[in-house]
Amino acid sequence: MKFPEHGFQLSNTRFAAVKVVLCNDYFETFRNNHSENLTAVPRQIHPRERSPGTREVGRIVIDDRVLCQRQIDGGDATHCLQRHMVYGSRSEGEWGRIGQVVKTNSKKKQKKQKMEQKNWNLLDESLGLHINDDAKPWPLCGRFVLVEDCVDTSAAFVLHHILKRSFSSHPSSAVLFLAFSHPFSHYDRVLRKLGCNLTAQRDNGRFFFLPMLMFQCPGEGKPNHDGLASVFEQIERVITVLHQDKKSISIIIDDISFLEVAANGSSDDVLNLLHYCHTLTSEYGCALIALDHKDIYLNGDRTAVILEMEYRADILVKAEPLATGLAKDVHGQVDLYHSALQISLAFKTWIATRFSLMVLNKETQHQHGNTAIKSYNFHFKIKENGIECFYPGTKIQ
Amino acid sequence: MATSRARVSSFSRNVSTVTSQNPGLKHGPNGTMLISSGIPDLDKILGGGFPLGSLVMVMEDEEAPHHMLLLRNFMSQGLVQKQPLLYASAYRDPKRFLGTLPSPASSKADKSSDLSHLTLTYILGGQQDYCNDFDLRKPLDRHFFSGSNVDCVCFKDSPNLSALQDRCAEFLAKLSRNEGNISSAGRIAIQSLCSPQCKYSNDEWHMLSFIRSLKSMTQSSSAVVVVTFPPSLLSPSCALRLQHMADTLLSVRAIPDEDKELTKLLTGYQDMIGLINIHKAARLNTQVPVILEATTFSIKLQKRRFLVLECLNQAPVDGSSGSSYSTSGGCSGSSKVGSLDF
Repeated sequence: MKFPEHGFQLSNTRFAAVKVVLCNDYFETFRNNHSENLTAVPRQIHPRERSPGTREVGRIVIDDRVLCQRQIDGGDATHCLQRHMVYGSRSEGEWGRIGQVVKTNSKKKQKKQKMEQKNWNLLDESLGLHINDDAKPWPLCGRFVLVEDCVDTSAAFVLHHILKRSFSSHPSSAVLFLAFSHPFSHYDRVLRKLGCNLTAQRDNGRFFFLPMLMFQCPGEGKPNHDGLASVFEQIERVITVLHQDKKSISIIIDDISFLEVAANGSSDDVLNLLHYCHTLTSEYGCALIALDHKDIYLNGDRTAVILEMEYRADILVKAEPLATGLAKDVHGQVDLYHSALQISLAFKTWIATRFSLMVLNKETQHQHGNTAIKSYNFHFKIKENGIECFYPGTKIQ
Repeated sequence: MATSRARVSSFSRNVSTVTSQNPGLKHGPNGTMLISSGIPDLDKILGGGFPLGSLVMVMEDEEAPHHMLLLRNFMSQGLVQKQPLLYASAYRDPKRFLGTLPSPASSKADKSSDLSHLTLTYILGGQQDYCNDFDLRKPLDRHFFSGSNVDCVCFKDSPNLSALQDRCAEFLAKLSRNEGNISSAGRIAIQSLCSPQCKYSNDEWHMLSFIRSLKSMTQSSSAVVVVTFPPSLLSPSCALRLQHMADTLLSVRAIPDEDKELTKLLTGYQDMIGLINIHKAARLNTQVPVILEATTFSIKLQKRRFLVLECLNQAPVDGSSGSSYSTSGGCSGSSKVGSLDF
């Protein structure tokens, strides 16, 4: 289900006092994802109120007093006190601004929309990938996504998912993949089951695979130009060529802990490489997606890499096993945050104590002068042909 | 892995039969080929055996040599099937270790008195040759390991692991996987990689990069590498890095002889010699994790000869009214292996 904040660009920070006019079913899911202090008032709308050509069946009013006060303090009082939002038929759960919801005149479009909705899952939504607009750039452009996992729960599926989405959603996207942990055949097989042919994409010049399995920096004392510097040169060469073709590029690193081993444990070299890759996100608008294993650093040994990565990350995805142990139908939990730096740190600790799988998406988008945080927590089950995401307790067998 | 090019369809065959060319190989899920671990029960738990191209790490218990049980059976199984073997250890004379390997149980009649063994052998896919039962009290015939397909390396005195790495590379180069058919499989067994008597044992990054390159070489070959290491002698982060590198991760633990609480809790506690934990099962060519019904199994010796793994069973508690014990709660999937004990 698509949530109303996409129409309104509302976020957690601004939900301190919100009145939502909404059917109870929707309200529950809505509240679970946002804030506890929402109040729901169900309201049916009169057919005469309905915008022509839509299948609107109800209306939400979001009364955002706190937001308003803040904005008055900031000198910006022009924003409305009340935001109106309509929702479509209950079975489909579509949302939009008044007059925008589900035009009934085009059945094909409707079907397409429905199909697309089905294809999204919570992970897409939390990463912002569901906004499928060809005119806009790839939603992760200029972002750094850090994916963290542990021995019990591998988060490689997040990389596979992003890889698949980057090819399926945008015709002009390209991916540069630094593989330190698996050979090409592994990814090819995994992605093929997800419905994406990497060999074909490689031949089309959209997938660049840098096999780093055997890459090893020369020993200490030698100039490290043969080491990670040469890796970056390779990356930059590919990026500059792709940039001329006006492609939106994603750099995916699988994974940082192997990169550290390849660099003989030199955290500085690893951080330098990651820093340079990060500069590419601003210079060329690339997306940087990296996987690392959080548990390695938990005992306080060589934490520089993970701390700096977490600080730089725009979106933090954490995968952990369920606290209750391994299960066949739920493989783990994800927490995700989009947030601005300072607020996100507080948020991170809050989520870390509450959930086991987390995606933190630090969104530095400035909306109405405020920076926004979004956080998501959900369970997942990994399948061969995709992943199934659901809110805790809502899995339907 | 390399066969993926040949096969264009995204559907993978899910057949689990022994191939006709080589009795030591079996088709596994996702286009992998499996070889036996040498312990029928472990094969069954892991879904058939170790996939070729995978790295198996065994975390040792520093107080007991239980990892040697796994290693011996793994090596014997390969030798019986005439698969090439590379054995590396910190022993001064690794060749002598081969004399301690167990021999396959001589005949069926030997075991026919024991029902559970028979069923296990038959369940495991018709052909006995894929996985043998090994008699731990009978040493392996010399002719199995006197051939040219066995190579032994001692890494005790070498200043670093590059010599061992070269030997492994040489060994794996012969087994490199080409398109299509895999005719033979190789086994590499490395015992106590990080043992403190080795000169390089302070250089954890060196060991990590050795394992990493070993893993990469293995991935493109038709071999399985089993490495045992003592995690308690390494820094925690290094041990965790090694665990992340493993495709299949096992740990063994000894159990104290006289633990009255455990004796009450678990049936057959007296017969157990240790516990084995399956932390990770290999998942090559797929993103779906393998979730086992139980992850902790007891290691027992049946008739003091055969190594068997059984689920932990909670002992009936006198006058209990549904009170549960957290220590044995995670091991409820008991019907699979140990059911015939009752």
